[in-house]
Amino acid sequence: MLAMMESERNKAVEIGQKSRIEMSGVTFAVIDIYKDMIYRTALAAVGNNADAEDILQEVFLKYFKTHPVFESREHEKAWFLRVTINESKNLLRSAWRRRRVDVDIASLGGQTTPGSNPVLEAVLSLPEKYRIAIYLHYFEDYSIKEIAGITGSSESAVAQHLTRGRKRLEKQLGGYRK
Amino acid sequence: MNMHKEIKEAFGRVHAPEDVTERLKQDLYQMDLNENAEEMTCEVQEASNRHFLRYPLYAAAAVALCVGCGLSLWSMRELENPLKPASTVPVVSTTTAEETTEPTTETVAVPD
Repeated sequence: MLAMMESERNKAVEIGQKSRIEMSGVTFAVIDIYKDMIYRTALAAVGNNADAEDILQEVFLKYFKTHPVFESREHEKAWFLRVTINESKNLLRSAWRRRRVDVDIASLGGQTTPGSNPVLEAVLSLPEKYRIAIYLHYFEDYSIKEIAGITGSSESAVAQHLTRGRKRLEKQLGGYRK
Repeated sequence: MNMHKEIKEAFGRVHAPEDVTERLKQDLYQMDLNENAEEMTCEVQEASNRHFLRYPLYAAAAVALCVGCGLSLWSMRELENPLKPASTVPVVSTTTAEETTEPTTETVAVPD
């Protein structure tokens, strides 16, 4: 079913069509394709479930309102990642945000129990910049150059965040190799 | 252990909550419906407003035309009378023969 949705999406991208719910239902297909990616990216960026859900909604609202047209599938994916990270940064900078020191593992959609996902807990306990670099590099398989383009940081900064983040993870989890 | 693999597995177990995405779809669908409804009402309203505004526009155009004609006539009238009463014109005075003054020579007797 996902493959069908993806083929519909690719068709829309090829002809440069703006997706609207009434036109072809492609917007719902886009939600199903990218919802997990956006949620994981938001979770890596903000470190808690509730804020990640808010950002998920904000990103798709922005997509619906702006109706962007993409040249390729990769362009579309990069757009979603960039918007997700920007929205996360805005939320983190917001003065009204309640800052949580501890990661609320029990609120991770009921998918994990405390201690059942130690790697995730360790990653989410890292500082924000390290979390994003670690997630985009190790999970989304982006290069340092691509991560720099998505986050708006320099390549040297991204490399530094990766190195430091990895060292902290190794220290927390112990016994990890590259 | 391989960090790359472990991180992939850790994040791979994380999924967006279904209730959140379903609610989002419903909200987007409702927003789309509202937008379409607004567009349709705007089209109907625009037609009636256009009809309603026609006569006041004609009246305003007629008034502007009359004012413009009046101003142009007034400025043309101003051009016809370049000399105004307030302009200074030298007054030439006419004098009689008695009033003309000529230099006179007087003889004064000198005593011996």
